[in-house]
Amino acid sequence: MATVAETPRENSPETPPPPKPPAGWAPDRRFLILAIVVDAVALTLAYVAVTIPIAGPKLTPEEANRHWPVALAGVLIVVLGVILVIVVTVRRPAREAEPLPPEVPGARLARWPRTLGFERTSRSTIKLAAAISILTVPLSLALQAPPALAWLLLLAPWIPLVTLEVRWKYGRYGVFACFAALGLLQLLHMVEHSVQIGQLVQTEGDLGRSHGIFGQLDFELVHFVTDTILWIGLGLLITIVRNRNVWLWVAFAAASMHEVEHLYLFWLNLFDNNMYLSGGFNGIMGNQGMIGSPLDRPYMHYAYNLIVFVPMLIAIWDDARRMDRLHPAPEQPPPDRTEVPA
Amino acid sequence: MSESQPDTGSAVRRYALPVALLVIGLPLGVGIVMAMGKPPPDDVLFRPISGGPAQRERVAQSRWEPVATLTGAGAGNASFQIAGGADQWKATWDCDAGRFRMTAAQRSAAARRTLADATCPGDGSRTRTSTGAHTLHVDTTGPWRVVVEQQVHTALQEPALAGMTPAALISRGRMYDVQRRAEGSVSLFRLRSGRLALRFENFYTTGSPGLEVWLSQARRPRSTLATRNAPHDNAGRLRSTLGTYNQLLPPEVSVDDIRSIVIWCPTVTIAFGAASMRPV
Repeated sequence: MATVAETPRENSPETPPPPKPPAGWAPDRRFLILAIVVDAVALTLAYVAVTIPIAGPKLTPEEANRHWPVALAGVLIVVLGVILVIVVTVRRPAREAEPLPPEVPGARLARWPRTLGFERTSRSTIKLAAAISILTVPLSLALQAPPALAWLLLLAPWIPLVTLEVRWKYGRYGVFACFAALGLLQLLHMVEHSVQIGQLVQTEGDLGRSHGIFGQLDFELVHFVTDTILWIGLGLLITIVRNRNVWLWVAFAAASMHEVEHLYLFWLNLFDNNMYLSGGFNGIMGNQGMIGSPLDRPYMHYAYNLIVFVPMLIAIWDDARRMDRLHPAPEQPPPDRTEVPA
Repeated sequence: MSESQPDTGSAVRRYALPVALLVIGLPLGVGIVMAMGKPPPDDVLFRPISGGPAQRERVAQSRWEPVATLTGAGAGNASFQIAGGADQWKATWDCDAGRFRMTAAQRSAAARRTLADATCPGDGSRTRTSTGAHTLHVDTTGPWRVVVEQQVHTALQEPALAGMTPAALISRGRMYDVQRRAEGSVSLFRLRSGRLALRFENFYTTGSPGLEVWLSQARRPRSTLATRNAPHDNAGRLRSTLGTYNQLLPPEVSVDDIRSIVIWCPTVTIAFGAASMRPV
């Protein structure tokens, strides 16, 4: 205690002492949050799956296992993809990592990473887009617009702003912009799945009336393309950012499991549609699927998407913080004047 | 003490709790939820009978049954009977000329209730929940027609058709579950007119609206997929999910195409139950 008190702060501003490992139980905060979120979602899904079972066709165990070679082929394709990502990541010539500017002791990080927000777009434009977006709500209600149109109208003012912002960020931060855009796409994807769960609760498991907001797009090709883009996108990102972000690997692992499922489902939908319609859509891990679980397909795929989305969010957050430090805002005053408490 | 020990301890302190939450807490929690919660029964509907010890009664999926078809020209009266257990009844009318006014009253009650008051030509329908004997009064100048139907959830009990003799029996099968419950037996007869008819006896299947009867060429379909994959004819709506009754088959159906009878739900696209038909 005395030693710490007697050490003058200004003596070693450039080489701060390494942080002491905590003596007691100090769980990794983000891993803990991830575990709690996964637990909470799994419990909620289990409860919903038990109380609101989906009334749909189911295969017998023999039927569900009929196309196991296809599932195996799906596993092999995904394993090859994962190996490819690992090999490319390892073999890629090591690039000099951009050195991060030294952390200023006592500096407070912004609550929300600056690079995740609008930087190029002026505040007045953002306010205008928000106002238009909010105004579409009463308009949609007055016109009794279908949910898909109402949702599109709500998003429409943001689409050009986000597109221009991503383009600008790509020029400034490179691949981080693609990463953030991928996260945004997965967020919208999660909204669809969340709405579907809400609809299932509302309709007491009537899958025919629970297809999310864009119900017309709830078919296998769309699911396959969306999840494959996500899987390939995450793989590409890993090869680019290398081992900089561990959470990206976690998201990629989850997306890989999801991809196996969709490869199998897509094949089944194309080549044995009768089986697909008779319960094959439960896939490999869904209720009475090839391996099976208590979760019916919508619940299962919600869980899949969530375990991709949560680590992806953490990975994006980490990278955004890094970008904040690598690229200080040009208009921002020097950190020693604003960020160090007096 | 080696130097790696503090690192191991630190890693345990960092990751033990989240890992425990995932590895122990997750399966334990999901297992408890799964064990505690039972899916709502979808196979048997029970109606509690008030008073006395708890009793349960199996009921049929609600269905509309014709009660009377009344026609006339000008003013007229007619009577009809609504079953005591009926959920509701409905009078559907149409008229050609003049003004159409229709009232109904229970025989036990004096008050008449207006069911329709409109100009013709026109049509419409009105529902009521009263039961027992009713009289209908129509006041109009032109021709009119009123169809009275009642909605019931009781078993449909019908005697066998005249031509359903042992000699006319072609095949018979016992109902079994596929994705829902199915009980009872079903027999296939050729009537004197040459038309095929089914006789359901002590039949029960899970209640659901719009169930259909499929005449399948599968010998013993055990799943929705087997039903879907086999060639089949749709013989129309199932008349009741409970009871002993007859169902005429479409005239174009050939007896060679009927190896099994499947109760099909078009809403959820699943096979509820089936019966493998054995020639007798």
